[in-house]
Amino acid sequence: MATSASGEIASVSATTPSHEAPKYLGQRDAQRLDEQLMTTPGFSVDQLMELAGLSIAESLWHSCPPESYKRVLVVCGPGNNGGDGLVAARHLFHFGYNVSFSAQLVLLPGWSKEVTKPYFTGVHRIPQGQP
Amino acid sequence: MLSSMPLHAEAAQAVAQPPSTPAATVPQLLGLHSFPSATTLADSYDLILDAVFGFSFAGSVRSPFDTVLQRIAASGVPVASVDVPSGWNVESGPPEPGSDTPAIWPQVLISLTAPKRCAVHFDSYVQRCQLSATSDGPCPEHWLGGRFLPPPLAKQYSLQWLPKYPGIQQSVKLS
Repeated sequence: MATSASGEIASVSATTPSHEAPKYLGQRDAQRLDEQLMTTPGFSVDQLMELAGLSIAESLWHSCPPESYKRVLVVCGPGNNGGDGLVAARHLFHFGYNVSFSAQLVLLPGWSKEVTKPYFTGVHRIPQGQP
Repeated sequence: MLSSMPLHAEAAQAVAQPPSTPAATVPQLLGLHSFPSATTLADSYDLILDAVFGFSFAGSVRSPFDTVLQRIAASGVPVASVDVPSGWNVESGPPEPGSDTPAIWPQVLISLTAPKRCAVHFDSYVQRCQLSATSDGPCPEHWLGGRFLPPPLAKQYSLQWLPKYPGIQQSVKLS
């Protein structure tokens, strides 16, 4: 720390509470970091979502393998969290799960287009008319 | 009852009636009638991936998501939550007992980029299970994904403590 540039120390302390590590992100920092991932390294939302979705599917493959958790329902919400879920649904299909999703809850325009693409074939939408 | 109709055929119908504005889209397509009951969920699925709310969620759970979360919680189907268990406050964690918000306690939490503050409560939950000799079934697990954090940003947000991803893996188990 002593050798860091003073500017860096200032910027670290601005986002670091005084309690001990490991530091989990507060809501504001989480939002700011997400924005910075797009402005600083210049990721697009799609790139981040693809990597996030892949990592979700991979975590599930380790923790809930398809041999024991074959039938998966992905419930997508209205924001980027739901987008991560949609990408994960696609990967889970390729990992050997039987995947359904319920994005009809919040089928936003961008996602309507997304889920009609041929690369989504195989992931099932819950049909209308459920109880 | 859940059909195996290929996704693109059904979704094409949904796209056939594009709403004029995004604001108008959501209520129009929030068809609770199409979300399975708790019993149907229990009969039809081995795992529910909860991608309902993320790190921007604040306040209370609005309709129809309150019912969706209630059904998920009541189904008893194991849940895996993306980044933040839906209904939890991003910082203070699970809803207070007796609150209207259904409490989802996932079997797996996948934190993205870095854990959010609410995950402290999930870690204690994992630890309680691991310390309990009498727990039935597997203990919950906390995973980290989103392998794209550049070192300067990790440093700026004091996240150098995050574990290294092994080899070419996109995820790493935290607890």
